[in-house]
Amino acid sequence: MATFDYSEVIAVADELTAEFGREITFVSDDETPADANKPWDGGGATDNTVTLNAVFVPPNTVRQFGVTALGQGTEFVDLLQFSEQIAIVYQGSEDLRDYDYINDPGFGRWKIVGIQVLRPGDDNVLAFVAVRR
Amino acid sequence: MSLTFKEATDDMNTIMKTVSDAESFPVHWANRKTPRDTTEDPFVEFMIRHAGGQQDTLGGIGHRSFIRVGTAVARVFTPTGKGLSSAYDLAKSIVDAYEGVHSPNGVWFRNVRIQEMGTDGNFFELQVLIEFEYNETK
Repeated sequence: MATFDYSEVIAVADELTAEFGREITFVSDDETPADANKPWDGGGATDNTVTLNAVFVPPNTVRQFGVTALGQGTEFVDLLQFSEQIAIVYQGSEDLRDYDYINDPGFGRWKIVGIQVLRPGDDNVLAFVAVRR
Repeated sequence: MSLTFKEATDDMNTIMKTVSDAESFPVHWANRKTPRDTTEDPFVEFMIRHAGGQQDTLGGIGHRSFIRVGTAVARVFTPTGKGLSSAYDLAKSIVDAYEGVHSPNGVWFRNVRIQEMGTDGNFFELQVLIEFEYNETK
């Protein structure tokens, strides 16, 4: 039986995230130790990055803090604030699990806390990336 | 010898690195990114937990000794369902590196022991617990 050709769906995902989203940068820390004799002291200064288009309107099945999410949500705990949002990206062949943060121009650096990948066949269609800070 | 937190931690980590280099297993260090599991190769997660910090001697500023104690924990992970031999072998190499010795700069190790924790996903966990003690003079 012939397998379904997802290339058209993937092209639409790529096109829509580019048209309606904005560019963000996925960042992973440099894991090469700055001092080979002290790998516990941290990596070098050369982070790995990839820039992708992201849309920040999560599907209404995604819930933040017990309420249906609408873009960026912020929880106030006394004087502390915790914000989170979900970036929908077309990742192509990138494995987003290799990255630790996203840099969102104008909104700063966010820690990736979860990734769900829509991959019905052999290729990625969309990734839903939950970020928090 | 007087040791700061960082100097003592470097000493303890260096011993673990020497063992891992000799035995060819990776170590996941505290507050460093842990790679995703893509193999079933054994690995060790190493952490140092300070506990007490009592003043040990009387004296003027610059001559007082403070005793630092705590426990270093080496979490040894070996593949699930493959028996315990590799876990004990790895734990033995770590225990031998710390038991009955002190670091070159004066961190003393006591009561080095193991504790079998059980299966955790793809891995069986066994912990090596290493109590340590050193002094800082200030």
